[in-house]
Formats: sequence, C-alpha cells, structure tokens
Amino acid sequence: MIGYIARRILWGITVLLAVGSLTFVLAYVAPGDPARAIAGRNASAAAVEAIRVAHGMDRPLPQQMLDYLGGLLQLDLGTSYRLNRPVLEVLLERLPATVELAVGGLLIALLIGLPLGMHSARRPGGLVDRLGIVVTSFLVAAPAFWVGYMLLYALAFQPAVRWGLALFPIGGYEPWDLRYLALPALTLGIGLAAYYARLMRTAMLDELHHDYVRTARSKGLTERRVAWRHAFNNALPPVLMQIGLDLGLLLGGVVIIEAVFSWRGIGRLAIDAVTQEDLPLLLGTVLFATMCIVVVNLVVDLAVAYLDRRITFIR
Amino acid sequence: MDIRREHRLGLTLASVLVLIATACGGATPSAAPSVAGSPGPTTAASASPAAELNGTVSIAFVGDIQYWDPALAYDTVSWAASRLLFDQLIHYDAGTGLIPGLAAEMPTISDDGLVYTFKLRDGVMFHDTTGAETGEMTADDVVFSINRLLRQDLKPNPSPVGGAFFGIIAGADKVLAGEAETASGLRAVDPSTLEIELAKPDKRLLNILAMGFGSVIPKDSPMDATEFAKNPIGTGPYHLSEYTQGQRASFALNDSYWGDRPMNGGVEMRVNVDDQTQLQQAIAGQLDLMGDPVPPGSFTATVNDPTLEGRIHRRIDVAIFYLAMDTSAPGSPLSEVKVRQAFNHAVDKDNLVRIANGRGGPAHCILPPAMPGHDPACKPYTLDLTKASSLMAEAGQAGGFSTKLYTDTTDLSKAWAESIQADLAKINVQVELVLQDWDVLLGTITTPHEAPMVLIGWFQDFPDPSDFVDPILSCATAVPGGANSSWYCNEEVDALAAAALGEPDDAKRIAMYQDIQNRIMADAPWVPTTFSETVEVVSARVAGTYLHPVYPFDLRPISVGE
Repeated sequence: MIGYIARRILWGITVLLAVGSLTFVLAYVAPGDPARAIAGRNASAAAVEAIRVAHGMDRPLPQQMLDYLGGLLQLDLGTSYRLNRPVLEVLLERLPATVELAVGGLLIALLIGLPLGMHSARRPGGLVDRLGIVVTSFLVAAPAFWVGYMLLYALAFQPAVRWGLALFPIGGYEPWDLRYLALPALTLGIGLAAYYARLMRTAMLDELHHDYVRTARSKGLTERRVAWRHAFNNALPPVLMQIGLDLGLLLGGVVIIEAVFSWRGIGRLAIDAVTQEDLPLLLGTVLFATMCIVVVNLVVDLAVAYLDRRITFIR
Repeated sequence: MDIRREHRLGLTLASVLVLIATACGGATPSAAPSVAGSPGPTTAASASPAAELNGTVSIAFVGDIQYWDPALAYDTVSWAASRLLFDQLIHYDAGTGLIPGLAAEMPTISDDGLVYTFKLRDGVMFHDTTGAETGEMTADDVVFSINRLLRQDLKPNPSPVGGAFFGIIAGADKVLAGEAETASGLRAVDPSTLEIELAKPDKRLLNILAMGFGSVIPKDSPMDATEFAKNPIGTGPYHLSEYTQGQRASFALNDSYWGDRPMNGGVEMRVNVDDQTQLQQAIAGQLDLMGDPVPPGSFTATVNDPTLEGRIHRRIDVAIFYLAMDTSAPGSPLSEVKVRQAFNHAVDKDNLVRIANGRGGPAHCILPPAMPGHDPACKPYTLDLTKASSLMAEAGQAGGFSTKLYTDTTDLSKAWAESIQADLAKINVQVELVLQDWDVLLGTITTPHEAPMVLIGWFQDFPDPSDFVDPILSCATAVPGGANSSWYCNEEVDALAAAALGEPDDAKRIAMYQDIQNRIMADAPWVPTTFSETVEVVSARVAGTYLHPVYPFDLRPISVGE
C-alpha cells in the first residue's frame, strides 16, 4: 500500500506541474498587461517599465516559467503583485473561511440529500419521490448566485427591514459564527443536496435489488432496518466518493457564493486575482484548487478501500 | 486620473472623485494667507462631544484596500483609508477651495512663481497603530515623503505617478533617473519651514500637494511599502486599530490630533462587499455608508422608494465620458476634421443619459461642471443629422465608411456604444463594436492607432482645468503608453497649455483654459458624451455628507447615532 501511495503522490506532483505550466502559459499569453494594470492609465511608459522590472515581469517568459515551476517544487507559489506577500501565506490565511463554508455546505447537503434519497428509493414513484425529483431538478438548475440573493433577501433583508429582526447578517464573514455561516452554507448545501438525493436514490435502488436484501426481508426484518442497517452501508461508497470529490472542489474556493456573501475565502481571492491581473495570485489559487482535488481524491480512494475490502490496490 | 468604471460586473472599484455643484472660487492658491477657512484645533464637537459623536461609522467597498502606503495608493478604497490616517500640507475645504493642512498658512510664492515657502504647524504629532505618539512632524518629514514618491528604489515598485505629478519640482528628474536621493528643489530651511522650488512656474503645485500622494509620513519610514503597511504612521485624525486583510479595517480616533475632531467616534471599513449586498445592508441599517454606487439593476426601484427619502446621496462627478477618435491614423477617414465634427452632430447625448437612468447629464465640451473653467454656454455641436450629413459630404465621405469602436465590457458601456453605433449608422458609418475587459482595453488604447474610436471616461485628479488637458489631450501624451486616446497633438494648444500652467492671474488663467477648450473642440478629437453622477444610499442614522467634491469619501464630518 505504501508503494501505491508513493506512486499516487508522484502522480499528483506531475499533475500539479502540468496544471501549473498550462495555467502559466494561459495566464501570461492572455491579452492584458499586469504592469499597466498596476500603474493605471496615466502612468508614463517609463513608469510602467519600472514596475515591470520591479516585479520581474521583464524576464523572458520561459525563464519566468522555469523559475516559477522551480519555486513550486519548493512550495514557493511566488509573490503576489498587489499584496506583495507570499501567495502561499495569503492562501493559508484564507483557507479557514473556505473550509468552514465547504464543511458547512456539505453537512447541509448530506442532512437534506441522504434522507431524501433514502426515502425516495424505498418508495419509488411515491409522493416524496416525485416531489423530490421536481424540487431537486429545480435546485440543480437554479444558479447559486440567484439562490444566494433570494435567501439573503427573504431571510436576512426582509426581516430586518420589515420587523427590525436581524435574524442573519446580510453578508460578511466572522470565523465560526453560525449566523454568518448559515445562509452561504445553505445556498451551497441545497444546491448540492439535490445531487446527493439523486445519488443516494440510485445507489439505494441498486442495493435494494440485491439478494442479501431479499434474505434480510425473509428473516422478517422491518423495512426500515433492512434499508438503514443493511443496504445503506453498501450504498455509501459512491456517496463517499462524491463527498471526496466535492470537498476537493469546494476547498479550492466557492467563487460565486463567496462573492455574493462577501465571504473572505479563497474563491473571493481568486476573483480579486483575476480582476487585478495579479498573475502569481491567480496561478496560486488555481494550483491550490488542483492540489486539494489531488490530495482529497487520494484520501477518498484509501478510505473507500478501507470500507470495502473487495477493493485492492492495483500495482 | 482614470478609475475603472464602477459597473464592471459589480466587481470593481466605484467611481469617485467628484463634485458638488459648488463654485470653485478658492481652487487656486494665492500668495498670502487669503484662506477659505483655516481649521483650528477647537470645535464645539471637540469641546463637549455629544453622545452621537461617539458612534462608529461603517462603510463598505466592493474592492479591497490595495495599498496602505500613500506613495502607491491610487484607487478609491485606498484613498478613503489614506484620508483617515494621513494629512497633506494643503487640504480642501468642504468644496474645492484650498486651505492649509499641515501648513500653518497658505505659502508665500516668489515673484517668479518658482519658490513656494511653507510655514508648518507646530505640535503636529505622528501616531502609530496603537494610537501612541511617535514624534513631531518637521520639514524633514515632508522632504522625505516627497522624495520617496520620486525614488526608484521604493519597493515593491516605484510610485506609478510620482513623476507625473511631482516631476515639476526642481531636481526631481535626477531622483526619477536614480541619480540622486533628494530633489534639489526640496529644502527644509528649519524644522518648521519648507521651501519647494519648481523647475518652471506651475500653478498645479498646491493641488498636487493636496492629493493623497502628498501625504506626510515620518522620515524614518521604510522604503518598502509592505513594511510600511505593517504599521502605517501618519498625522491624521485616526489610527489603524485593527486590520484583517480582505475583510475589515477599523480606525480609532487620535486624541491629540492637531485639527478638528471628526464628528464620529471611529470608522469601520469593510472590504470585498458586493454592491448589491451593500445596498441591502444600508437599507436595513446594517451599514452606514455605501462605498460603491447603487447597482444599475436596482437603481430605479431604489431612487423611487418613498421609505428612503432623505437617505439617497448624489454627487455629480468631476468627470467626463467621451468618444475619442484617432485623429492621426494615416489614411483613416477619422483624421479628417469634418468627419469628426459630423460625428459630434450625429450622437444623441440625451439618449445616452436616458440609458444611464437619467444619472449625470449630456456633455458638450471638455471641462465638466464644477471644474474651474466649465462653461455651460460651450456647446459647439448640436444634434443635427442634416449638418452631420453635409459635413460628411464635404469630407468626401457621403457614402460613409466602416470603423471600430472599443469600450469596456460593462453593461452601461455596451448600451452606450450600441446607441452611438445606431446614431452613426444614420450618416452611413458602419461601426463594429469591440468590447474588452478594462485591463486589456488599457493596453489597446495606449498602443498607437490600435483603436479607431474608444468610448471611455476621465475622472479628475484635482480640481484644476489642466487635469483635463495635459494628461489626455497634449502632444506629450500622444505617445506609446500615453493616455491620449485620440492621439491628438496640436502644438498651438500645447503652447497655450504650457503658458496657462504658469499664469499667476487666476481669472486670466481660467479664460486661457476656456480658449484651449474651444480650440480643441474645433479640432473635434472627441465627441464628449456624458457627465456622470454617483448615487448612494445611507443608513437612517447618518448625518452629514460624505460625498466630497474632491476626496472620494470624506468620513470626518459624518456622525451617526449610537
């Protein structure tokens, strides 16, 4: 197993270098001049050039790229043009907010999605199942920024304006303050809940047709016990796999929701990096997101293998 | 200056720099203490602070505070923060009049207009982030602060516009070239006397000193802006008491501030707050002041909401939007003046104002309202399609031609560009629209003859008419990398503008700029389109006005209930 993990880590580093190179090229060949963006419109050409030299943008592109990739191997993601701080330091500073939102959102998604999926699978075609399909289809289709604004309007803005009730703050971030976390996590959660409900429903329907379920039923176990004690555990691996994938994605920053709720996370940082042409910061956020996916995928693979002993590590 | 347009997907900085419709009588310096109102150290508020003066004012911005170092700060959010922490030798009064700031009185000016002598206030103390006094300001601090703007060894990069503004000081060129650390024209005569000698007479000096770049910091400040940001020290009424990058900055009062006590007990500045969220927070009372304008999609509902009566603040910006036409591209029909004049007769400016929800007004000349020299009678071109068509015929372009119009990607710019496109189609000109992100557009329009036409805006750096001529319509800026988007170069106009810079008689000087304006409009490098207006909502507990004609935001006179 150690050999397997070592190979996966090497593979992960390769992926990171490849993504780093590709993003570097895309970011640097895209139109726009970061030095001019820093200097503004009425800086002279000489002033723009001074900024270019000060930030090392005057070096040939291949050299800049090699320096960058070399730094990457030493966990140096470069220095932000605008913040003039190490990119890694800035990312780590923003990570807790993004972790909080990702975990909160996933928890809500699971709390809504799993029971809904279970219930739908146990009575396919029933009222909950049909209603669930309609609601989840709607939620899957609804863009996060719309859901976010609606929740803000209905649960934070209107109570405050109509009744002077400050139920939830209208956007903002305070570390581990549930009043601030509730609405962004709910926005993220109900979007994801729809996926989990569908995933759970499919996995459970699949499990409920297996022989061991028939055996359990024939032993006289209640339907609830059959579903939760027997089928549920076996339906979990694909769900766990999905949680891992989502967690990896979400840790890379939840761009839209962080913007709508003024959430001080990595997604918001990525927006700033794009709008300010802060290429090292932009590259950093992309690579960080990639790294989250690579690492979490590895952890999930190991966890699933641990849960399901039929899975072996292929050499 | 140019500030990116406020509507960019709600992600960018707000527009700012502005104006109220006040007169600008005191906008130029006088030789002696003819001061519009010298701020003394006492006010009724400081003598007996009323309870409401202790409330903390909150303001939010879409953008972040990019620089704490006044040598580099060139965006509205950073300026709003700078205004709390730092002072300059010269300040503005409630309008555009210049008054002494750290200077004890307005400077004396030598007869040749070259040497300005400032007496500094006594007992002005610097404060650090704990509010502790770190020393008394002297002339050496002022000399250091200005030299620092010019020096090329400032980290992470030199000031982008230090040379553009402070390059007028004698010897500044040597500092900018890295050949000296101090400009020969900056002299601390004694701890409370400063002399500034110019390379040639230039009436802009006091306006330049009153910019955020003119902020005075201690002479032992680091030459690294990142180091400076860890403990920004200034002479302002507040100190930075708490800062979480990307989230919030809190400012507390300095008890021993030399000037008027602010009308509030502190300021909380929230950053990275979406403009729609700002609006909802302000209406619901969770935010006192919006740092960005009411988002276009909510504009009509907001300004017509009867419950918000008295809570909507408006300011006509000292800014102009215009269609710049490339006047010197070889072989282009636009290099023919009659074609450009025809365009001026063809564009329906009232429609552009309607598209902007009625904000601002139509622009007919270069100098915007509230800018000294603005002439409401200056209206050389009226909407007249017959005249436009005949001018096109005189230019041999009766059948029209095809060209391109570049602008940024905001909804408003796009809608304006489409309206202009439709107007020009009426005189047989087929216009292809090219929308580019601001940073890309910046590269396009600073490259000669890349964009035949560009629709863009210009916001004042300071309320002096030179700011709407020299940086954007002079031969010196019609060069690669320059901000002259119409590549307009008229040596006669340049000579007049150079003379106007040093003209000591204010009335004569204003008349010179009006003459310059008329000459430029006759050459028609632009179709001036609109003036802009900032509209914001405040919470119910706010008293006072914070939309200052020059400072992007002035939070000092704002008071809030507890």
